[in-house]
Amino acid sequence: MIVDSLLKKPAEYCEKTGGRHGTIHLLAVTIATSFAYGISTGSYLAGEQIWLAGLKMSILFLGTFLIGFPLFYIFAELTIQTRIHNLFKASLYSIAVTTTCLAAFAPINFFLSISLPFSYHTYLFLVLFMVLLIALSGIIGVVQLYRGLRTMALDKHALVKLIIAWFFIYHFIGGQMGWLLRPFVGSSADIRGNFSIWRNLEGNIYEAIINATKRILLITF
Amino acid sequence: MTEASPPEGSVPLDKLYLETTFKNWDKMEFDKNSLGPGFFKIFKIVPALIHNPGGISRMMLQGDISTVIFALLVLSFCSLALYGAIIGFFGGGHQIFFAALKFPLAILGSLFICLPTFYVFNSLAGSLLNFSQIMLSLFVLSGFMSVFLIGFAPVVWFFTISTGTAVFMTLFHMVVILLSFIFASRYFRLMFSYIQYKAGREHSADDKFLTLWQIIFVFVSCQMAYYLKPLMGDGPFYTGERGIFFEFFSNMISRG
Repeated sequence: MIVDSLLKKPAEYCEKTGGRHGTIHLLAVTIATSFAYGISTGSYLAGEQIWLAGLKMSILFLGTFLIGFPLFYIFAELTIQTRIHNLFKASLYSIAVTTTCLAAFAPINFFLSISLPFSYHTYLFLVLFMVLLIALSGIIGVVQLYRGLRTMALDKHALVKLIIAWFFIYHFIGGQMGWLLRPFVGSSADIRGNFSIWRNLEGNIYEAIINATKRILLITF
Repeated sequence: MTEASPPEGSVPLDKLYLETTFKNWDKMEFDKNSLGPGFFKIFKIVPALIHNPGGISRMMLQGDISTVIFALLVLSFCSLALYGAIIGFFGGGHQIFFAALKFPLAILGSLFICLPTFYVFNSLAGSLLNFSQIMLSLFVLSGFMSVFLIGFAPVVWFFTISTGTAVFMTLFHMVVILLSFIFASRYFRLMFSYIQYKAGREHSADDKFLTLWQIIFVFVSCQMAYYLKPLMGDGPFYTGERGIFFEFFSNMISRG
């Protein structure tokens, strides 16, 4: 029921009165859905990676939200001036929508993870597929946040500015957080049997996406 | 230079077509008691799907939909199993039974795997349907697809018993299944628009979302078929062999 209203009634979560559903509901949805998506990504390597990826994915989304929120609040104060707890709930709502969309893709992701072969080529394909899914779900989350905040903000121009700020803050931090935790499918070293929770920090997510695209194109053509 | 505007009061052709169709469908009535009791009465859903889509659609919005869900599931499973058995004729022997099980598993399994994305896409596009109604809508798609596949079945059977090349037969099945899906999608979209319209929404679910979902479904079905291998000449029911369906095409090209 909560997922139904989450997707269909964004205003319920973002209105000034606080709406019908509480922050706890949103937190529960975010944790459960991101965990479900994490499990589907971890099933490629199976074993401990399954639950660990679920845990990492929940940390990724909640961590990104908490790190990015102070900056977002400053932008909100400068643009639409709203109360902090309403903004907290509205932005958590955006994260919950994102993770719900990801959880909807979890069965497809799970099936691909258990049926695709163990090869470097497939690993790159899966990483890019998952990055694409997260980007798509993130955009949907932002669109829903915009729909919800329309009820709170009178100045539409200021709201658009705020949403753009949110998009860049959240995706910039989220990308690096994902790179740090790597809840996707593990590196190619994992395919050979090595296992690690926290790998050495090197480069960043954007370099990695460009490199993965280059490699997959080189292998294909 | 000013752009030519349509004459005042004119209605786009597709909208006019939808309005006329929906008005006709409004007159249709469907009695769910006609589907039972009795196993074979379930198959009365086939003429109802073809001749009475309006009645079935409105019934889907009226609460108790378990009878229709069951009827569509049984129809889909039996028809897909029959088509699967024809696929299995290529391998012969126990492969007929394996394929009769694998093919419904592949299609219905893909449908279930893609159900959450269909629900989320529709909810985001403003659909007023709940989860069980969305699920039933997908069974309508599988029902239509089954009807078309049964229509193709004699042709496919004839080619199966008279052809010896596995690559040709795989491509032939792919074309037949894809055609059935395209034809079924056309009726499904119309019926789904009507259901949405009756649920209180002026426009149907966003077509872009529906198209994206259809692409995802075809992708998942291809991978599912490649994983389960219903057209296997010989071997066990489940091989557990991993792979991606693109390999079929790359192997075909490399072999010339």
